[in-house]
Formats: sequence, structure tokens, C-alpha cells
Amino acid sequence: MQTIEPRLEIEFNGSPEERELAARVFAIMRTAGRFFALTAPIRMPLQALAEHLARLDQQRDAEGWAAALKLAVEANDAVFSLEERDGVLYVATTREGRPPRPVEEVDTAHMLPRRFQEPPTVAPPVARRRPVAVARPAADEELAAEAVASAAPEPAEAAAAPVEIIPAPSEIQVVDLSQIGDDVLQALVAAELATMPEVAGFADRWMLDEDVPRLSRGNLRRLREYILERGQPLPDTELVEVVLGVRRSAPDYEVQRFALNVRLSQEEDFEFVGVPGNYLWSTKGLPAIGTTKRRAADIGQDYRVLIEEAQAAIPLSEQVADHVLTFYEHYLGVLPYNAILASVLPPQVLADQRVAVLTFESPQTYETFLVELRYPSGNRGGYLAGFDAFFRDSLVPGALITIERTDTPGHYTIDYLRVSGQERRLLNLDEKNRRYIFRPTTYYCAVQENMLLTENRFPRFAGQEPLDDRTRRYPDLVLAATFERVGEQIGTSDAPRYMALLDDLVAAANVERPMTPELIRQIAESPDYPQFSIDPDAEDVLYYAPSP
Amino acid sequence: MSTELRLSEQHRAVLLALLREVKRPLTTEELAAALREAAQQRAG
Repeated sequence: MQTIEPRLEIEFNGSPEERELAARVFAIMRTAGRFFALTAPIRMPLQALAEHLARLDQQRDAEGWAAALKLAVEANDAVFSLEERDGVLYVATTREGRPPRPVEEVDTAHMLPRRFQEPPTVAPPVARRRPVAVARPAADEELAAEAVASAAPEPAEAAAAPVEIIPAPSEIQVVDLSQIGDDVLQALVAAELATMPEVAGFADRWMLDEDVPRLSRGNLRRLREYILERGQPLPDTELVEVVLGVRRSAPDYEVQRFALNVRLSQEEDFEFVGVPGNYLWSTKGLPAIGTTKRRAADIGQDYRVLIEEAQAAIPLSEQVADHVLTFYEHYLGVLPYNAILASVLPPQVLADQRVAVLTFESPQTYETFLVELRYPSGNRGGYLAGFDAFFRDSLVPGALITIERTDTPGHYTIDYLRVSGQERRLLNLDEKNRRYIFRPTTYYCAVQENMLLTENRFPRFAGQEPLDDRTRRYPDLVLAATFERVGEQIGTSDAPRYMALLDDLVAAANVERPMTPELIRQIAESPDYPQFSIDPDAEDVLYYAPSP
Repeated sequence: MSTELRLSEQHRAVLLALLREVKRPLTTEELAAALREAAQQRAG
């Protein structure tokens, strides 16, 4: 609930015209700084105010208004002050109708913030990351929107002039909790607790920091050694039981488990890689999961086209997802974090969580392996890595796969339809010579024919080099190269023009980088790329005419 | 400039008192429910 502020009655001095002008300027400035603290300075350049008044009232020009304004402000020095900064004259006031008070010189040498900012040189470096539950930031936005909506508007002229004010975050204190719903209250509680230094939080749980047991250096070392010995990220439950020796039936088991999560999240050597319901911890030195053929950051860049669609997906909203494997995915052993797969995959537990480690089980090959889910971050898209051996041994590009969520958090099955052996000449990358070649391949999985890269379909791929990284970064350049590789030349040798079907372009462009059919269509339709076009009469027929 | 909702000092004190009392991890949901109950009791 918002506290209603009493209306201010300010008496202005000077001639009637000066009084009116002063009241008008005060209304403008108060409106501009309406969300500021009562005593926070609101500053506006006198010239900007004069120009604004000249636009509204043309009985004077800007110079005339500036002179009148200066007189009115000087006549009301109990309300305004005039300040000169870098040759610019500012009118300053506050929402309470007094000139801003000069900032007092305070000896900050012994204040807590200063001591934190400038620790003594002997102080040991403390790495403290505050693990924040994911749900909160979204709620913050909602709260901010509600707060703005509930702020009482003040009737006054809106100033178009630029405002130079010392920003002070505006806060509205909730007094009556019955006015807000459970979701909003939970978001408020979490946001509040996250700012309290005396409170320790992990995911959506909280305790007073002084009550959370600490991990000794010896325990930290033993935890790290145990994870390394087991060779994979381990759940908090196992670490508490085996390394800290606290049984599940012990009265302080939950406290010790919480403490382990809180304390490990403050250590540089450990990384949280868990999912809701299974909190896993990894440590430096564990074998990397996923391909070494391409850097993780580069794969993330390749998948940036999927950022938007993945954001729209609701994690864990679906049980099963189907996918057709592309050449790029098969070669690198990755899968995209797109809208379809994101809907079966777990959400981040912590807002800044980079990676979750999942287990995948193949009932057909009786193998279980670790997979790293890299969440989208910044301008990098998300993806799953670690399928290298499974794809290489059991599948070909074009294979249909099904991923199913199990009842165990973070555990998935991956299936494909087994068929009798098929022999085809399929596209491969000869890594030694860095050339595409077609190799006779026998496979036993059902495939989607339009994603199968056979020699009959794309003979011109043979002997070609993979595109360089600079070209691969740009989807339009990859599309152009793909047209030349798989399209039909329908122009002349002087003015070539390529025609290709969307299906062929999708299959072949995905040899180099992730390219969805929607992305290819967007490029072809975009006026930014006039070299591409779509046939208005025939469905999914595209053209490319290289610039001369 | 951003505007944000905040709990009052009184609410913050109630949250801290709850955490101090139970000495075990509480979920956000539990704390929000306890805070609402405390506010209702005070109002009633």
C-alpha cells in the first residue's frame, strides 16, 4: 500500500507574474522528479526550461523566458537555488519545495562500505557468490510494473526539457499484505532476504547465516577429492552422507545439507550443476563433458538464433520431445536448446547457473552417459553436449530421436526406431584432409528422408572444404554457400542464379551451422538480403542471385 | 528510473525473527505464509 503524501502549500514571492512563473516551474520540476525522495535534488538547465516555456507560450522567446525565469527563481530563494556547473546554469529544488541542502562532508574512512571496498592488504580474498533462486527476477519486473501503476499521478505540466537529477531509486513500502497475492508476496520475501547480509540463501531456502555451519578447509578438500575420485558431479545428499558423515536420519541432516550447498556456492573450486530435485556439485579437474572439436563458446554462438524461441518455452511442461538429427549435431554430438527440447528439460535452479549435468539412458544400446545442458546466456544460445559417442555409434544425420523425461530429476531416455540395415553413401567430413566426402554407410535407425545427406541428392558436396569460421558466423553467407552447393543453376555463366527447395537448403545448411527453416525463410524474405527471394507461386522454392 | 515494492522494516524484522527462532532452512513459501499470518494476527 502506498502512503499518500500530503499536498504541499508553498507560497511564492515576487510580483504576480513572478509568483505564477515560479509556481509553474515548480510544478514542472516536481513532476519530473515525482518518484524521488522528498529531499533529493531535482536539477534542470534554466535554458531548457526557458525553451520549453517558449514552445508553450510564444509571447516571449527563449531568451525572454530565461530572463523572466531567473528573476522569478531569485525572488523565491526559499524554494529554488541557481547552480552553475560547467558554464550551464541550473535551477534546483526538491519535492518538499526547498532548495537542495549542500552535501555534508562526512568522514567515511571508518564506515562499513568503505572498509569493504578497501580491505586491508592482508585480508584473504573471499569469493562469495550469492546463489539466487531463478523465480525472483521475473517477479521483480512484475513488482516494478505494479508499483509504477499504483503510484499516484500528479497533475502538472510534463516537462519536455532534459533533466539532470541525481537518481535516487524510488521505493514503495508495502504496509498491508492483504493487498497482494501469494506469488507477489513470495517474490517480495525472496528479494528482501537476498539483500540481507545476515541471511544465507540457496535456491528458495533461507537461514540465518550465523546458524549455517561452516565447512572446514579439510572438509572442502575431502569434498573435492571425493568428487574427483568418483569422476563425475555428485548430489549434495551423497556428499553430506559420505564425506561429512551425516546420516539421513540425523536431526541436523537438512541443516547440514543446506550448509553444504550454501558454503560450496561461495567457493571458486566448486560449481553447481544441479536440477530441481537433484542438486549436483562439480569441481575443477573433472573430465569435460562434450566435444573437443569445437569450443563451447563457439557452439553457443552458433545457437544464438534459438535464444528467443527457447525463452518462450516452459521448462518441464512436456514429457516427450521428438527431434531429427542434423549433420552439425551428429558431428559435434550436440542437440539444440530449442522450444521443443526446452519444454522437456529442467529450468535453472540458480539465476546465474551456467550448466546442468543430466544423465541420458539409451534403452536400445544399454548405455547411460552424462550430458551437459548449457543454458542460454547473453548472446549465446543453449545446447546439450555429450552425445558424441552415442550418435557416432548408433545414428546418422537425419535420424529421428525421441527424448523422454523420467520421474528421476535430471534423468532422461533417448530412443530411436531400430530398422533393418540400410546402406547408403552418406556425407562425412574427412577430418585429416578437411574435405567433405561420401562414404558407404550402413545404419539401423529410422530416418527422415529429407534430412538425409546422400550422394545422389547432393553430389556437389564431395571434395568441398568446410566453410571458414568467419563465413559460418553469418547465416546469409552460409545460405549463399549452400545454394551454390545444392541449388540448380538456372542463370547464365555470367549471371548465375540458383534455385533450391527449402528442404534441401535446411538439410545442407545444417552441415555448417544450425539453421532452422524459419531462419532461412526470414533471410529469403528480408529486404536486407535482396540476393535471395522466394517463388511467389511455387511452395518452398527459393532463389539466390549472387551480386555481380 | 526504477520503482520497486519493498517490505516494511516491521516485515523484515518478522522474517528475521522467524529464521532466528526455527534455526533450520525455511522455504520462501513457508516464510511468506508465516509473515502473512503474523500480519493478520497483528491486524486482528
